[in-house]
Amino acid sequence: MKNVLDVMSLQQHVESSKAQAQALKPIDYRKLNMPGIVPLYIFECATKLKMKPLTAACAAIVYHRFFKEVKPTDYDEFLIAASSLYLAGKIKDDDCVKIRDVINVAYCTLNRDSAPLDLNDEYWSMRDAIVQAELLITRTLGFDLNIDLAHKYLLYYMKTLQDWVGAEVWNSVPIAKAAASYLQDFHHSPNILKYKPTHVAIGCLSLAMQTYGIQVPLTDEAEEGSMWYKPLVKDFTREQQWEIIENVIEVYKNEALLKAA
Amino acid sequence: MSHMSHMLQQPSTPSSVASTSSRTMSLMEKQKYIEDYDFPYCDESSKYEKVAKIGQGTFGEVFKAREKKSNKKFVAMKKVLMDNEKEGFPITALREIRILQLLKHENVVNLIEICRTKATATNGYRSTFYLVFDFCEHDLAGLLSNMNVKFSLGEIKKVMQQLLNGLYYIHSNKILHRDMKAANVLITKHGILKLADFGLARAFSIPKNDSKNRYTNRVVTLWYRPPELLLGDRNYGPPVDMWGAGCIMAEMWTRSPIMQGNTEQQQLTFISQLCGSFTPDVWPGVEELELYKSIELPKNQKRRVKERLRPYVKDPTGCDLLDKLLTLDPKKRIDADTALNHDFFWTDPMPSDLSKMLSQHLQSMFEYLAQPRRSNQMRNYHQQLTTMNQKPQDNSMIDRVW
Repeated sequence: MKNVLDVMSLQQHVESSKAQAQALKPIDYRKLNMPGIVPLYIFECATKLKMKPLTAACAAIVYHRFFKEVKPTDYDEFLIAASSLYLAGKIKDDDCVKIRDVINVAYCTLNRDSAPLDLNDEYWSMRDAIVQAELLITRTLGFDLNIDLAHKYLLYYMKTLQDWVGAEVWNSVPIAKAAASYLQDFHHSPNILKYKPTHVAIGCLSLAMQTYGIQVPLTDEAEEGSMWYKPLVKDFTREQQWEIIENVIEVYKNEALLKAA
Repeated sequence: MSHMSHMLQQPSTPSSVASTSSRTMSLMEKQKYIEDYDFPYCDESSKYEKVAKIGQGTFGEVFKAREKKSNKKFVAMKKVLMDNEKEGFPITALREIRILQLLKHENVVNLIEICRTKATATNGYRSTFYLVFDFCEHDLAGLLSNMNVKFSLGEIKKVMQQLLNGLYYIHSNKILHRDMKAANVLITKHGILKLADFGLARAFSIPKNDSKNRYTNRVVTLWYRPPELLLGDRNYGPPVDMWGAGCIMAEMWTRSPIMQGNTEQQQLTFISQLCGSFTPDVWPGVEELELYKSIELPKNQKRRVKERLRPYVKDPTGCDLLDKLLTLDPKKRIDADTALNHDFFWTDPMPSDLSKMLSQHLQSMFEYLAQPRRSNQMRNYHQQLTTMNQKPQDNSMIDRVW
């Protein structure tokens, strides 16, 4: 029963955050030492850099994977964030990610009222720091930089489901948009690393369907064997589904906390 | 060590807030910290011992090295050139690494790991990086430049079959090699062929109806560069590698590259003289390529691929496959899958193992090591080919070329 309630809280959250959006003040990242603050910074910078969503998601994964390997207190998290953005640009061949833009955006987002850095010592040492941190990250990750994002799986699953539930039902609610948003936002949480990309995709899609109350024809929620995702991912259980959903919802709860602070 | 002070502590931060890492270190402490830093997933290159320099890749030198632990296992170490340090790790190297991690196939060179040197005072506390590969004894350019190495028809078939197998595999994984040439085709002493040097490789996608890819056309060594790239095409695909495969196949008999232009213009001229003039008739859409109108191309040239290669190749099915690989229109050029089904590979003599022939040659043959001899020989061949094969119908053009 708990899970059903959580979905309801999410639905309410969507409503209330619309109202909040207008009254929102920019976050002073340096002053808030709370979990989830740096990922928020990554995505704010990514938006300002006009990064493709895939590049932004990739940057977040790089960032989470790095801090899975090291002690967070050993490194300046915002520097690692800036470097992850820069590295993700290279990994995803996102042409618009230039080092100078990364520096300007990273700097001004952190120091809200400052002008971009002149080409002075501080600029060059920040540039050097980002570049060195990039090498640190690549080595720490053992140069394993083929990052398998959940997005492509989500796309295929949605294509399949679209035919299954029929165009009429599918188009009646913005389910694709919701699933894509849940997925992108899940990248705020380091917990995304705990699950396979295929499972993450199913989890987000499943949450989107519950949000809008879509039932897949000829499936039975009560029976594990006849869940709609069974033909798509064999090694996925209802338990995992609930876990992922809870994790996604946690991201939104945390966001509310951050914005309230 | 300005960068380390950044990494450990952001100077612009007042120490009272947020920064969880605001301990300061003296310069000495920082240097020691960097020197002693342990990267559990990225070993030190000192586990290998360099034996010889064996080549020069697109982005750095290549060495043969011995693994110290086993003392028997040999590897090739490719140094990552960190020319433009201010941009960080080169995107080309990063691409090569990601592509090689993805590709695991008998006919693609195997990347073992990435190594680093220790950061010490002597290198200014900056590491050098190496890509470490399984060692291959020969490269095809080196083998072809050694006249003592003789390939039978069956052995040539085996080389081409493996080459096309490798291309089929990388193309089905949506990767373009973009630097096909004999020097990038490695062969082990057991006769296994490996495609190497993915320094220019990239992933490709098939564009949707209304959009076009915009890849750089400044790729592929000039002599192996296909006509569409020379004409400025930026929406190209796997056929660019198939053209290179054709050039390499012909080279198996001619023993040196078949079209050795000095400029792009000259390369296009050579291609027309071999494959005929570029017309919308044989190549619909050629008129839309960027340089088609601005470059002067030989007119009224007949296609003479079979005619000119027959004296070298002799085998009719071989000539036919060459003709299909060296097709001007990339849309009509044969793909790797179809090429593998060509009669060339399924008529006697069948493809035959190379290891026996190679076992007679105990020294490594690399183009890099053979260079002085090879370039001489190429020049001779070049002149010979032009005097032999060009019936100058249009003298003015020949004058401009020579």
